[in-house]
Amino acid sequence: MSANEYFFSLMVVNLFSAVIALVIIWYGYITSHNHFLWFNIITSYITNTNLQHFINQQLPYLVQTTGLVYLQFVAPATGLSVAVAIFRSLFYKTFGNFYVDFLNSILLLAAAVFIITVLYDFFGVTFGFPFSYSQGIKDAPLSIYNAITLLGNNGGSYITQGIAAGALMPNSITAFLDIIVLNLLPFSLIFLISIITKNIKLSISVFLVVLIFYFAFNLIILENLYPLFNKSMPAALGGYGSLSLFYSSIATNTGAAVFMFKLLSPIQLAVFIILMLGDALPGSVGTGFISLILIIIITIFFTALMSGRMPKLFGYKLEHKEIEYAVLGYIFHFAIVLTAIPIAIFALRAFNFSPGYGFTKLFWEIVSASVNNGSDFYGATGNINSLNILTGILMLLGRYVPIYFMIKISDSLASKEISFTETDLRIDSVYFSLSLVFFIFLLVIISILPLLALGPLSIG
Amino acid sequence: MELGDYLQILKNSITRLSPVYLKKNPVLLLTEISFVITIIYVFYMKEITPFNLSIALLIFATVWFGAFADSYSEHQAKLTATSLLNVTSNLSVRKITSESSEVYVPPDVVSAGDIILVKENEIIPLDGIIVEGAAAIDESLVTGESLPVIKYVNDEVISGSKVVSDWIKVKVTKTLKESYVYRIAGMIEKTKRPKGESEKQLDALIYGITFLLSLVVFSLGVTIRLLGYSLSLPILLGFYVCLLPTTIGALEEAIGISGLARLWKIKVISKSGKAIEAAGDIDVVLLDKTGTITLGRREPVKIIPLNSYTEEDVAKALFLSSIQDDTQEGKAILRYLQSKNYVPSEIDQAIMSSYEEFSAKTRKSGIYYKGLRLPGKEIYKEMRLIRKSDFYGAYLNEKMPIFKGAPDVMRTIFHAPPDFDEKLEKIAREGGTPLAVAVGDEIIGLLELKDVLKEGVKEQIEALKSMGIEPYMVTGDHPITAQIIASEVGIKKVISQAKPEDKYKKVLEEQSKGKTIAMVGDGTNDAPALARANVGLAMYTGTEVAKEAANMIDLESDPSKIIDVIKLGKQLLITRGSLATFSIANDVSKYFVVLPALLSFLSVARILNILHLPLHVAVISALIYNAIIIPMLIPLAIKGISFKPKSPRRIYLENILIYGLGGVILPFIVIKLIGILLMIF
Repeated sequence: MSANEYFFSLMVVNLFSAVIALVIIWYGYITSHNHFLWFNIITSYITNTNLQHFINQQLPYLVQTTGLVYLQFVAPATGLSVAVAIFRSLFYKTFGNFYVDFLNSILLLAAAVFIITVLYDFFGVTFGFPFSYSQGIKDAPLSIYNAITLLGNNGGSYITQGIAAGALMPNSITAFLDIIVLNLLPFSLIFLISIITKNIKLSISVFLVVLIFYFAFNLIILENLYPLFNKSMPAALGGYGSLSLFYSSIATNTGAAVFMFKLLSPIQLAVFIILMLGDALPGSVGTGFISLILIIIITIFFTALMSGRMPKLFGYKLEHKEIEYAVLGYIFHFAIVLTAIPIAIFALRAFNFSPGYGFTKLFWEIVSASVNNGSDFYGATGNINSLNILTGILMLLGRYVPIYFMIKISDSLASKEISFTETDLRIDSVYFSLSLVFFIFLLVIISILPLLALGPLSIG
Repeated sequence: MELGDYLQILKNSITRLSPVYLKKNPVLLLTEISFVITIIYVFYMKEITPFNLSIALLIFATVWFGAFADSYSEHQAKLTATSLLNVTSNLSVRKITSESSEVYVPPDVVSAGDIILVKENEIIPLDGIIVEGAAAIDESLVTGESLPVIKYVNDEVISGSKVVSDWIKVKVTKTLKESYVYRIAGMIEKTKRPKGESEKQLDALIYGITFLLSLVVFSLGVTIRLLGYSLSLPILLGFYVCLLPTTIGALEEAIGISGLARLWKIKVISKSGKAIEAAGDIDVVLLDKTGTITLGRREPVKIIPLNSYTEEDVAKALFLSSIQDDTQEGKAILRYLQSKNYVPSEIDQAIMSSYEEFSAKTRKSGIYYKGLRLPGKEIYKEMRLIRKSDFYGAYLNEKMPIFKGAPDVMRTIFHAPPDFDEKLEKIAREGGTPLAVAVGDEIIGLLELKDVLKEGVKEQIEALKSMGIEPYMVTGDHPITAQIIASEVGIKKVISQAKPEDKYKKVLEEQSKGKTIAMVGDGTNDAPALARANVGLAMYTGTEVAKEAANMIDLESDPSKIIDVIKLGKQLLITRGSLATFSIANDVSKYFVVLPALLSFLSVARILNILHLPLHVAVISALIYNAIIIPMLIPLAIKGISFKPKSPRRIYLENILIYGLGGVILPFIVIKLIGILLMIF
């Protein structure tokens, strides 16, 4: 398949899946006939976002266990396919066939979900068969639902309270398992580069970037830990455990809720917003990798020029076309966030967006939708037509546009020759990792500091 | 530069403020638009406060400094370009005046139809037709054929070819002004500089960031208004201008044009700015041995007597054979022998003897030592017996050949002693070129000649390698000879016994591997390779075809200049990258300086204001910093960031620390200082 065909097939499969989900929702009748909510739910699940502008318990059993589960498979399978196709085009110069990739991804996810479900079951998460159409929690297939929610970095947990709800997290072993499952695919993809290129240093340097952010952010978060100890935290986790799980949930763009957002201190809120917009640390399955490549290209451009060379990625010469795509793809999330905020304020005048909490909630919501994170302050209170439409559009744009740019970049790179020179600036090195951190930080800061000032930094 | 120049720059910088001109520089255009909006707002809303006016003034200053940087660098480049044309006229031409006397004139005043005289060992400066005389002409640059051709009256001669013997008078058919180099050099001032690849990439980035920052400011402004707070438009626009990458936006053009001007300064002209950028990114460079690595002349290093002859015998015979030799090599041999005190007493007779010149066909030269008959075998043997006492004197009346020449030719004419081959091989192994010396009918010894390395060539090769560039040595020499020279200067890869086509093949081969390649050439044969290579540097003394094919021409015809060109290319890229990083890194500070003024209604303003400057002072200080950093960096943009050849990694680390981290920290310090100064006055 050509790059365009690949992207087209991807869109067709996603659209088709959305239609299936729509039919199921239609058939299952949501309690209210809110079409904007349907739109929001479907876009939210198909884009791997899982903003939940509804209360799970009010959603028909059938919709949750069939339609939403189906979409929770489709979204990560799409991301995984894209990531693999990009690797394939960069290192083997062919995109492959989306349908094959997609089916393989589904099978892979299914196999992994099976194993994880068994583990969850073993450690006490229940698996109730949906014989009856009741809405009780006990007889729901919680373990399998939790497995695909976390493994696929979806984050739309079965229970509105989030993944730390008692039924989903009976003990701390399951919490630990949660962290592993969340990080499994994003980190696997990072190490897939090394398996293909047979260069372990490449993955280690990327891993290093993730670690640097992990430690830097956790230092800041820990510094602000004190309010958490005083508040009610999930019993199985405690203060730091909750924060750790939440960090993984945000960093992998899963966005599953662990505790009440109000428990976070202003600095913690700011850090998590930066983390969401940084988007690549390690990011969601498939798309996190895309953002990472985009910012790597931008960083390579700077490092190459400053060392007196022209930029190269994996031995490919980068030309202005690829730089353009990378810049557009990378700033795209910032651009839609910055555009959407005034629109949202204008459209939702009934809300209180005063600097501080009010603004932070909106800011978080917009960022979360744009980068397909899915964590949100609003929950069911966000079920307002204009917000449903706005976040729906943001989710779609934030999902498919960067994928498109990335496919175009790897397509135009794949048509070139590969050449390595001994003294090429290597991206598998510590100083490149540090540069990457520098440029990610620089771009995030210059894009959102004013909004952070209006939001979390004004709390208190 | 004189006062007139400065006035001109000033004038240009003002005309460049026109939005039509700024269209191609969106960053400065947006700055100018901000200025216009500020002014309109201030006067329309009647908020004519000193603070608002100074914001407007400083925004204007930013645009103007940008326009100034532009016109300043362009003017400097123009001055350099004008001086280039003088270089092309520096070669003087012997023109025959109507009174048939010779005058030396610069080539640019020679017009078509003029007659010029070209003597032995001179390069024909202009195309024309021979009107008088006949000469052997080396057209190897044009045809690739190394044997000189004899040309007579009415034959055409091409500039760049060399008269090997005799002289000719040529009627000029094509003047210098019609020549390619002159056309290019003349065009430099007028043509627009097309954007290079790295410039386009940087543009993509600058435009992206500009778009993003415009959204940041727009979004912030609208949000503040929507939330019902008051907003000072001048501060918002001041904030916007501070954030815009004005530094790199203003200096980008200056960096590009000064990069070209630096190239012109070393007397290299290029058809487009693209080539110099490409030069910075070269992976492989083909270096011609002759002219780049060696001086192109051989110096004697050792005399090797054969059979039972002594060194002195050989030396004296060599001296006599060379005494009438006018070639470079002949003179070098005499110098060498004199320095070793081997001056025979028979010089006078030798000068009187008949001389056989070196020719490409015979490849030997020497004298028939004054005498009447050729020494026969018998007499020759006798000579050998008494040679110790009075070698030449004994044969005063004999006509004896004393010759030197290429060993392979010499051995077919003269008798070679048994150790001849063995000694010959030894010389070849050491990388020397042998010359056989014969007296009578016997080869009596060998002279080892070696290529003279250019001064500093070893360091230059080392510099290339440290920058990660792979040098190839290209030579027509025998592989062993070539290898030895190459290893002497530290080159690993050698293309020996190379024909001009080999360069082309190599260029294609490296490019198919995705590498970029630079090469030097001067002959018509080199033209395909010059045209194909990413950087092709032609010599001014080369043929028109070569010059047209190449993307750069060295007016001083020094092949080793390719190395300087590569360095300049790297410097250009580094300057561009570092200043861009600096410009964007500067933005961090602006958030902590200007944003508090914008959000003064919030408590967060106090947290952000880490410099503890009064809000209005902070805004003005930031704008002052933002404006004056442009003229402060003009010298850096024009001269380029100083750069010593070392590994790209080291270069990068230094620059990211200075311009990346420095770019974050410096504005905090400078803005604070400006703020303190403002508060004092």
